[in-house]
Amino acid sequence: MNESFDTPAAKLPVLDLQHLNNLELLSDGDESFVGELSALFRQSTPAYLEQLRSAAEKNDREVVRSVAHRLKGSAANIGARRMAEYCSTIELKAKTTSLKISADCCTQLEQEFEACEQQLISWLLHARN
Amino acid sequence: MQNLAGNQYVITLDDDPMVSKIIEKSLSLRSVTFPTITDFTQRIPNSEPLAVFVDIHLANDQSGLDIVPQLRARWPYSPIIVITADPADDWLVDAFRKGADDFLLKPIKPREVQARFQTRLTHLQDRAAKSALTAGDVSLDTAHRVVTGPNGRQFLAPVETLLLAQLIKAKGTVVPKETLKREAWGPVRVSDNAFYRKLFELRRALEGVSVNVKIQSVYGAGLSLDIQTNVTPMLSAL
Repeated sequence: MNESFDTPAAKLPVLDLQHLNNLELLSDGDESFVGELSALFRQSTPAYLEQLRSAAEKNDREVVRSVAHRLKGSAANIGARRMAEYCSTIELKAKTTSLKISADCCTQLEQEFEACEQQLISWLLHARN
Repeated sequence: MQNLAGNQYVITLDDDPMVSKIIEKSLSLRSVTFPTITDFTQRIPNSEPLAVFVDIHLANDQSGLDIVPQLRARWPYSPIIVITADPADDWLVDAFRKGADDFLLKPIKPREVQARFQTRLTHLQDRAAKSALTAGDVSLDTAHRVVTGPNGRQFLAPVETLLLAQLIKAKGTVVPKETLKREAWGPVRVSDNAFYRKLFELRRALEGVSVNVKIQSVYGAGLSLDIQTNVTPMLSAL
């Protein structure tokens, strides 16, 4: 089976900067709205990634599909385009095939989340300066 | 029930708190959030929201669509906007069938939230104005077949709605029985028995919402609405 995500998805940007700029326009005074949203995203995502890995190990496709769907939505909302696309691929695979989601796929998604975290931190630093 | 009387707000049914935050900021309105349908049904706000945003795919594999008909019946003029992360979601068709007014795709974009909210709100408010008939302290919403008065509100059957609408439009004048039958049943011939059965149900519904508006029979002529209006102290002194 394919152990990694498709090349077109890998070519997407980690963050959609235009989306972040639009969200940041909603900030009140000194408090960054993207900062508020990214705190929620960074807080909730690790637990979902753990659930996803555990369900993938057990080949529980229903849980994999449901968690990947939930992650896809929150990644999209913070502008994490590539992560949302990876989640979409996992969700589709769990929904339409009997293939097991590999540990490599989970690792790649976890690494993508780390990349998002790093880029969000750096975006916030620049946006506030 | 949550007491939000006097406050303008929207409701968001979504297990992702980011969605509610973006909606709240985009509209500059408080968003009361429920992560699951169970949470919502246990704490239904007692005042009408300006709009309801519902994620189609909720936590614990609940479908937001299950609650849409209930929302529609409860708040006929609050836009119901469903949210999905799938552009080709088959559920969207179902959402419209169940009473949703519009949809938003994730990622939730502030300007799109504002545009869809404003458009749908204006549209529904226009419809509310057009479909409301009033007689004294009673109002009839013909689109949703709801009669409302100081003592509460009642849902009416389609025929009862048409009968009451006809009587309200007559503004207290007598409407012949045959005219009422024609307006309510169309070309279908209907017995007096069936007519009076419906009239009995309608009278009972009216009694439940107001003591000031009654249907009276005028022997040999037809029916009319008896509308009691409050007599002001100044007039009563004359």
